[in-house]
Amino acid sequence: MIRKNDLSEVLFAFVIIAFGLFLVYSGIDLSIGKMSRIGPGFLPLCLGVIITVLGIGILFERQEKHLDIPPNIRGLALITLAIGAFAALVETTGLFPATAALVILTALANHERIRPLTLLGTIIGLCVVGYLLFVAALQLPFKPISPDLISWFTGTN
Amino acid sequence: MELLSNLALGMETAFSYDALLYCFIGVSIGTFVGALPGIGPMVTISVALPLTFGLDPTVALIMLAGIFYGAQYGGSITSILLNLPGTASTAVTALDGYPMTKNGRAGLALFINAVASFCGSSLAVLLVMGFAPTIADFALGFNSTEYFSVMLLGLIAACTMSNGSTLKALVMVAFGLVLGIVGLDLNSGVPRFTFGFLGLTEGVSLISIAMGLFGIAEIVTKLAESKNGGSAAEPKVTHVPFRDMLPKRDELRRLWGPILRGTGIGSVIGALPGSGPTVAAFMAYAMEKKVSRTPEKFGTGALEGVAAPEAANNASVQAAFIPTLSLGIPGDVVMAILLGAMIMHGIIPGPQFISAQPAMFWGLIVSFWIGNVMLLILNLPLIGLLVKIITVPARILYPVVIFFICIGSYSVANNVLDVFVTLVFGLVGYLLLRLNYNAAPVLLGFILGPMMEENLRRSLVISRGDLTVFLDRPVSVGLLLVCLLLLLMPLRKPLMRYIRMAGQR
Repeated sequence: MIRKNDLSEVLFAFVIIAFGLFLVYSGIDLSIGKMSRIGPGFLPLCLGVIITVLGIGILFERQEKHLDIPPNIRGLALITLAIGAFAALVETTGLFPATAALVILTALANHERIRPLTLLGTIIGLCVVGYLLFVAALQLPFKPISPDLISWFTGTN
Repeated sequence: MELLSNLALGMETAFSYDALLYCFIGVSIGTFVGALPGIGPMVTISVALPLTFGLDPTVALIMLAGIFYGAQYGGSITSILLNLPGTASTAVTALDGYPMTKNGRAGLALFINAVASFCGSSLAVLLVMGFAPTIADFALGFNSTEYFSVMLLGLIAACTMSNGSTLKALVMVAFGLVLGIVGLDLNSGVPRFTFGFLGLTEGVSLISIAMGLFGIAEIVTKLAESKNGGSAAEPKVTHVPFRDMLPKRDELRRLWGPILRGTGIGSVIGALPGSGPTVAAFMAYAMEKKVSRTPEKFGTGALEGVAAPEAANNASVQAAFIPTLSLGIPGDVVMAILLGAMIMHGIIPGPQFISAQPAMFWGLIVSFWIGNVMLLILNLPLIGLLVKIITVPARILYPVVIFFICIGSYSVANNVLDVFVTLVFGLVGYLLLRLNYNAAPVLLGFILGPMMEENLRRSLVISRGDLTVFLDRPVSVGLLLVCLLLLLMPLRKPLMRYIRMAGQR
C-alpha cells in the first residue's frame, strides 16, 4: 500500500533524477573540457551524476514520518500573488500602489480577520517606512506614485 | 605581546562611534526579532544585508553579527515568560524557564538567562580569539587540493551531522552547488543556466535564495498554523522588579557548574559544522539532567535547566565564527549568510582573512564583547517592552515581513527580476519543507560552490588532469578519509543488521 505522502515523495525523487539528468545533458552541452583544463560544463556534469545517483537512492530510502498539517495552498497562492503584484507594480505604478497591493493580498492570505482600519494603518505605515528608508536614505529608483498613473486617473495626458 | 596589540587594534575599531552605534542597532534588532516568533535571525540578516551596502564593511559585519547573537537573548525571554520560543534554539529554555515563571520566579529565570548567556558568549569569544588565528595560520599553507578537501569536508559534515535523511541533505548541498554555478563562467566567459535572463549573468543573489527558501516558505507555513488557533498567549508577567532577579547565595553557587559545562558543550558543537545552537542547547540540557543529583526537578523549574542550555546556545553561536573566520567555511546557514555578506562587501573569506584584514577580525571580536555587555544591560530593563512586542498580531507582522523581503531582494541590484527569483525560491522552499527536505545545506553549497570549482580547476591544471593529486599531501588524504567515513556512517546500522542476519542463517 502506498500512502499519499509516499507518492509525493516518490514523485519528487523522480523530479530530482530528472534534474540530475538535465544537468548531465547541459554539462556536456557546455563543453566538459579536458581533465587538465576543465571546461564550464565539467562541474555541472559531475553534480548531475551525483544528483541522479542520490535521487535514485532517495527513491529506495525508507521515508520518515510526515507533518500532518495539510498543505496551505490558499496561503501559498495569495502570497505568490502578493509578491508578484508588488514586483509587477513597483516600477510601473510606483511604490505606494505596489505596497498597498502587497499588504492587502498578504492580509487575505491570513485566516485571521483584520479590521479595515488596521489594514489601512499598516499600508500607510509601510509606505512611509519604505519611502524614508529605501527611497530617501538608500536611493532606490522608486517613485512614490508614478506620474503616468496620476495622469491616467485625472484623464489628462 | 602580539595578542595585546591585536586587541588594541580591535578596540580601536570596535570603539569607534560608527561601530558602537551599529553594534547597538544590531543587537537591538536581534533581540527584537529573536523575541518575535515567526521571523528568525536568518531572515532578518538577509533583509538587513542590502541596507548595509553603504556602510564600511567592518561596521556592516559588526551589525549583522550582532543581530545573530542578539536573537539568542530575545528568544529566551519569550521562552521563559510565555513558553513561546522566539527562536528554535531557545525552545529548551522553556522546559524549565516557563515553570519558573509559573512558580513566580520569572525574575530569577531571566537573570540566570542573562548571566548564563553572557558567560557562555564571552568564554566562547575567548576560544575564537585563541583558535581562529591558529587554525588560519595553519591553513595558510594549504594548496588548492587541500583547500578543496576542507571545503568538501565542511559540506559533507554539515549534511551528515544534521538530523534527518543524509541523502536528502546531500541532494540539497548539490542543489546549492548548482545554484552557485548560475551566471557567467569567469574562465570561459560562457553564461551557465541563465536561461537567457540578462539579470542572471551575475548569478543568483544570496539574498533571494535565503529569503525565498526560509522567509517566504516559513511564513506560508505559519499562516496555516495561525488558522488552527495558535495565537499568542497573553503574558502573565509584564513587569519584573529588579530585586526579584537576584539569586540567593546557594543558588548562585549551583549555577557555575551548569554554565561552564554548557559553555563547553556549546563551544564544541558550535565550532563543528552541521549542528548549531539548537543541538547544543538540547545536549547541554540532557547532560545537566544526567549529572544532576536531583534529575526529577528538571521540567518543574530547575535553575540548572535554564543556565546550561542558555550558556550552550550562546557559546555555540560565538564558536561558529571559528571555522567561518579562519577557513571561510560556514558551519550553518546564518554563517553562510554572513560569509555572503563579506563577499558582497568585497572581502575574500578564507585563511588569509585574519592576516589580510586584522582590523576587521579583531574589531569584530571586540565588538562581540561590547555587544554582549550591551545585551546584558539592554535586556533587563526592556523586558516589559519585549513582551508587548511579541504580542504584535500576526496579521500585521506578516505583511510587514513580506514587504521587507520584496523590497530587500529588489535593492540588491535594483532589478525586479530578483523579486521574482525570490518568489520562485519561496515556492521551492515550501515544497521542500512539505517533503521533509532541510533547505539549510543549499546555502552552504551556494556559498562554497564557486570557491570549490576554482580550487578543483587549479588542482587539475597543476597536476595536468591527474586526479590522484588529491592524494599527494597527507592533510588532503586525511580530510578526504574523514569525508568518506562520514558518508559511510549512516550505512553502519543497516550493515550491522545485515551481518547479524547473515550470522543467524
